[in-house]
Amino acid sequence: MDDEVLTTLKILIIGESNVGKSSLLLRFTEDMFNPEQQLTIGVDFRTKKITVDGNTVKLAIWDTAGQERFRTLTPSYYRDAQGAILVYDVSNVKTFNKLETWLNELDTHSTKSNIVKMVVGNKIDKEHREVSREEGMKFARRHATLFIESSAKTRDGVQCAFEELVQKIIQMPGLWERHGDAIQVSEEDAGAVPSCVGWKCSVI
Amino acid sequence: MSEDVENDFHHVDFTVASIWESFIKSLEEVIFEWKLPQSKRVSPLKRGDIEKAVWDKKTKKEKLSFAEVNFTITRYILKDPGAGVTSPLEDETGDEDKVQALEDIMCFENDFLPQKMWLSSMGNVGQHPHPLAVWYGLRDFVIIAPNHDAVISSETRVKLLLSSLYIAVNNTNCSVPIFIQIHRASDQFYMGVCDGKEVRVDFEMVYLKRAPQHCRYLPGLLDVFKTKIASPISLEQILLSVQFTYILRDWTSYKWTQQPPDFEFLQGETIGVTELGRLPFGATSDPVSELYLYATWPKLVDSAVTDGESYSDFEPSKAPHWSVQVRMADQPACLLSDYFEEFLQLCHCKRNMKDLIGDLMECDSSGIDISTSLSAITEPRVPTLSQVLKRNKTRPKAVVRDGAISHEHLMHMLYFLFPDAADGGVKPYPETWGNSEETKQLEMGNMKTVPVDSLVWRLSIVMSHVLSTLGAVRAAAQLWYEFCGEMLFRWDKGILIPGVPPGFPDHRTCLLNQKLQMLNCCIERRLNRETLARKTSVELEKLSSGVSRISVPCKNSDDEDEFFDCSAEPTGGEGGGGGEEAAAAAGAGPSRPGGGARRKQKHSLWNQPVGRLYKYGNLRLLKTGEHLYVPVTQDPSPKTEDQILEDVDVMVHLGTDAHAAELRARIMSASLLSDMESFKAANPGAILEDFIRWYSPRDWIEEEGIDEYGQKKGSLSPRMQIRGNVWVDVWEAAKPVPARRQKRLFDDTREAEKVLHFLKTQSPAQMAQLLLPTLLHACLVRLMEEERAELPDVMPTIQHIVKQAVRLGQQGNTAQDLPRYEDLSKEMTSVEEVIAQFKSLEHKFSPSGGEQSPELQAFLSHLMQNTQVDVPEGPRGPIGMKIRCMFAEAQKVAQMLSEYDLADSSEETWNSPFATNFPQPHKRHFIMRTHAKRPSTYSIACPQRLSAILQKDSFRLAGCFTQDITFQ
Ligand SMILES: Nc1nc2c(ncn2[C@@H]2O[C@H](COP(=O)(O)OP(=O)(O)OP(=O)(O)O)[C@@H](O)[C@H]2O)c(=O)[nH]1
Ligand SMILES: [Mg+2]
Repeated sequence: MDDEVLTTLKILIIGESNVGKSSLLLRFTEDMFNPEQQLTIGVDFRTKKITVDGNTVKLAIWDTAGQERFRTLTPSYYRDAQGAILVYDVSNVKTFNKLETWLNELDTHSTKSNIVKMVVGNKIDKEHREVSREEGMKFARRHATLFIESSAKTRDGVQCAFEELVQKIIQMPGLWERHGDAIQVSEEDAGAVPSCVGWKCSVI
Repeated sequence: MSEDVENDFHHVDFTVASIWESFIKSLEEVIFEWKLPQSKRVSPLKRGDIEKAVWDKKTKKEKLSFAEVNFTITRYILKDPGAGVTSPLEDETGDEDKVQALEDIMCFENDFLPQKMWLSSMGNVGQHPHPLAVWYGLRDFVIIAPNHDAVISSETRVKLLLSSLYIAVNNTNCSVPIFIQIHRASDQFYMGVCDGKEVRVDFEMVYLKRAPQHCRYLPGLLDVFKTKIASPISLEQILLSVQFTYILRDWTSYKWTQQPPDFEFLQGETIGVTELGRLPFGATSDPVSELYLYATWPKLVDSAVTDGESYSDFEPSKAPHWSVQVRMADQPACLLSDYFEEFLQLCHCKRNMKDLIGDLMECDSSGIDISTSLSAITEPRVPTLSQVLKRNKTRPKAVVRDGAISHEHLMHMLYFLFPDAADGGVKPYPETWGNSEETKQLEMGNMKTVPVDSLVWRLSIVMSHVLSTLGAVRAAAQLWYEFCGEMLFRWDKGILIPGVPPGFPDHRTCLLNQKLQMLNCCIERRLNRETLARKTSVELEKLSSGVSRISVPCKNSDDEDEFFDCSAEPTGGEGGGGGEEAAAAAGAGPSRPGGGARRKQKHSLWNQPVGRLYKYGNLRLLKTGEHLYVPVTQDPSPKTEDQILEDVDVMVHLGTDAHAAELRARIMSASLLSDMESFKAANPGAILEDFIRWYSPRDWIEEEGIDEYGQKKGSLSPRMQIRGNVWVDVWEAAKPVPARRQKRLFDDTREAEKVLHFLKTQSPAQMAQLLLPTLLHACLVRLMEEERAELPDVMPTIQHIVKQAVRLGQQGNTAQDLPRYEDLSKEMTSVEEVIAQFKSLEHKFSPSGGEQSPELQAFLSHLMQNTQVDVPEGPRGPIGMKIRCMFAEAQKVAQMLSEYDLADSSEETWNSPFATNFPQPHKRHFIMRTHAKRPSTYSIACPQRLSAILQKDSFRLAGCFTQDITFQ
């Protein structure tokens, strides 16, 4: 992989407990699946380099606990994130219904107004499904986020999810223009970043 | 230099022919290259075309030289106002032989073009359009000017050049006038020729410092014109256009200026407060410096007017047409921008607090120990200020050292910042912290600052007043010092800080606000802890005297924090209610000792359930069958963003391997441990499975079958069963301790001290940087208040500043971003300037401030665009009347002044004693036109024109004379 890292992007993974956030992260960073993945306490953190459109960026990915009791702890870490992955479990409609709450949570605590959001429906390998792909898409469209379905177990859609998120972030210069001490200010982009991210669906 | 060239020239006389020829040849080449002879006639100009349309300027530097002087040749051509490029006029029959230049000079539409002047960076005066366009009404012409400092002055050389020019023009049939610049460039002296098709066209000029005696009035000028034409037969009538310019510099009562707030004057208790919360706005000197009035008489006939020393028809109030233009002051001092600018300066300040106010600090440290003055329990309803205490004890009212704030002022400011300390009369903080609609619209809400009119908001404004009008840097340092003192006082006394949005530090606000929110959190926790402790001890007394229950104080009974929690007596019925916290929260009824008696049998004394919040559904403990209680847990810990950053750093530095993940989990599990301990305390006999059923129900997998207490059987999820898993480990380590007796996860004392230390150790520059974004926000809100719909550029600029400010907030490094703030400051200045200019104009033309007619509105907004604006109905319309009043008032003042020094009125000018309401014209411009048969009676009548421009220190004639070359 190209070693010339353009910048470091901060990505958040949020969503209800047990939807597979930590598993997605493990799959993405180590290409592993641990059926005995432990319940996350507070937050965890991993990094990975990724090359998108010829740009190599380093991702600092913050995995947060979905467990209600930890929710007072985690939002502190939302600060300065450029991207957020909102995960639900396609085999559990309750986790899908909670997405709205998570979006609000994100809006209240993220410091960047133009954070790129992606909704991920996980565990599509399971036979039992409670949320259809269309419903997921509809939600994403309504909230103007990216959307993808995945399985941390079979690795379906995992790489793709991160790549697409990164691509979208890179397209928004306002989000990562400052690295090191250099400030690259272009007159235009200050205003050019649209208030919401255009919806886009990727086919897996 | 010109002298030298002159001498050289005479030496090499025999080469003149060749010099001359080569000059002509090069000139012809340029003429052909630019296709000047082919230039087509275009549609006649409409009024304002020359002024508004875009000029093209083509320049050639090389090639052209004459007697060792190099020339630059430049063509000025007006792009067709309609089509953007000059579009040829459809050739009508008989029109082919007409010449564009001659059409243009005779066209009345181009008379008295307004000319913009500006000072270029090199100190030259720039002009637009070119003066030749103004003097002749030409739209297409060429200028040949010597390069650099070379000057063509001697008559012989001028003649030589002109004849060469004439030959070149003739050879090429060039109908575009070509001028030669003579004398210094600044003299703007040009002579020129063009081929007028059968007609010879000469452009001639006279330029003197002073008008000759006989040329001071129109009749003399007409004589000059006639003499120059020297037509063999008497002339047709001469058509005249005349414009007089008057300047108004003294605005008298129409002056518009703003003064900085005067706090000395506003000593009253409440007036000072409104002033304190408001940033000043406007220019301290009139932002509109001059008004030019142009009185115009278009198309007069020479025989119909009188103009002379004792009487003139050119009386401005009788002119058929008026137009005006204003000149804005160059960078007038603007109050709001100056405030911000000074604050920016403070951000760069290198001095420290000690240097600045070391003496004041010393004076205080030898003073009182505030903590002894009041007891926290008998605290008064209205809190006092730290300053009040100090005043009484240490600082005599009268002592004010250099540059420090007087005690009076300081008290006003402190009461304004801490209105809860005053007995009313001071503006309290708003109840809620919402942003107004318009600020939302502009995304001002996204600025990383504070809600409007909160404490930090007020502080930034007051600090700005202090810096700019109440004593500069030292006073600012003093105010900060007092502010920090007040914070310490509040923490010490347990008095909440007013004007700080409630709740945890809000990371979308600025750091200073977060610190204050943190301090308030600490104060609140401490107060809660103390009230609880007091209540407990009171209850304990009651219990120990009434019911025979034993209170077991811990070893350190003087430390309320360490009280053994013994009021675990359930207050409800069987199994109902929780500990005292729940009772306090629900305001539960009197305790029923009976219930307790029964419970007593269930739990041994050392194993009393404590810290219960409420029953968790119908769940019962798996082992004992008792109700499962949700425990009272420790409140989450508030954190400011800098603390979060530290935490994040720690997390990141641990690395990303499995071990690091484990370590992170251990660090993060402090709150898990606390919750488990609380749970154990509230639910004696509970096992991990019970905890998980409350804490992470998804990890409890229900199975078939019912247990002895009627609940579904189940087991922990596989991941919870893994040996050595953090959850199991922590559960094993957890002791049954209720939240109140646990080690505090959030140590309010330590955190408060951290905040106070942070505040105290800010340098003046750092302090200013903390406040800068908020001050910027306040300035923008102030600009919005003054914003006018009539100024279309203002809102977009404000919007742009807001966007930049939002971005700077996100980057969150004020120190590093100071240059960017400086840029924004400049933009803000320009907005303030423009608004001030508009207000000034409004004050002048509509001083009563009443409803403005659409006519006036349009007039004002045109004036703002810095162009010459027609006055509707001229001197007779309402605007015209107003202008006459302005001039009349200024004249009255001027006359009063001049009566003092009548002695030196020896200097005679074109005095017109009748025009008392107007000053001497600044400029008089006459344009004379006619057709004349020249040079002989057989010649055709060809166009003649003379412009005469008379000013106090300059007299210029610019004539265009033509003669028939066929019928001589
Ligand atoms: N079948 C299937 N199981 C999955 C998938 N992803 C995760 N799991 C399982 O779901 C359970 C929860 O996964 P985690 O990754 O721990 O869930 P989480 O979202 O991190 O949960 P919290 O840390 O509590 O927020 C684990 O037992 C995983 O093995 C998937 O794609 N398919
Ligand atoms: Mg997890």
